[in-house]
Amino acid sequence: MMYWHTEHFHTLLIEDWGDEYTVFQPDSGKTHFFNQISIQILIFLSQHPATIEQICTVLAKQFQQNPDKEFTQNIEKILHHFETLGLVKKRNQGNPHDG
Amino acid sequence: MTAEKPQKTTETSNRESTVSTLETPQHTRRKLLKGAATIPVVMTLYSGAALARTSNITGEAANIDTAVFMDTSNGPQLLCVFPDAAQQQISGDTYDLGAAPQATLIQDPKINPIAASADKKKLEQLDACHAQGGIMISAVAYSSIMDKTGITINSTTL
Repeated sequence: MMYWHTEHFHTLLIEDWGDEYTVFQPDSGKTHFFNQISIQILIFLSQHPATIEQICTVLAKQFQQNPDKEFTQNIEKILHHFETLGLVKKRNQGNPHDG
Repeated sequence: MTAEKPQKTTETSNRESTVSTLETPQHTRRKLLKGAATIPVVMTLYSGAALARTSNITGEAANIDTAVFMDTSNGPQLLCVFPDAAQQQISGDTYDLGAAPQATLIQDPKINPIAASADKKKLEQLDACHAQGGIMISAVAYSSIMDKTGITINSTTL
């Protein structure tokens, strides 16, 4: 089972501009722009390492969306983008709280 | 996940307490992004000032009178700078000289600055520059580029 979790989330400086967010990442020295759903993904993963299915289920409920294939693909894309930026990592394991 | 919203300016040490709030921020500013809110978006922002500091994008001098001529023992020589071949050049009348601009001084024809033929010979030096793939730049552009990265002049005629 593939679990996603945040990387150094506690170091991020987040500024709320009203459903839009800027996130300063000290590790890279970069500032990123997030919209509401993308910041919620990051916050959720900071609290709960989760599979993509779990992330989609929660987000679909929160944003009143149908968790269809397109929705899931969009979430998956952004997770890989987060991973490229060093904001999240994925772990392949049975228990997300191990190691 | 709960319907939590990050609060304005969260701090590192108290992430849990400040990130979670049900308070809806007042937003009167114009949105940076328009479109579907259910498509996750992340974009890395870059400083325009930082880009300006590292770019050497310039246009060719408007005319020969504003071009840079270096005084040498062989008379004035046109500073002929070369667009960086490694850079994708911008269409139009602008050129990217790259991070380490290169130039040469045009020696021929030799210019006697007090002779009546000086203007004509300056134009001939410009033609020679163009023939080498170079451009003339203005004194203002020259100063700006010298302040940022300098220009390497491949010439021994100074």
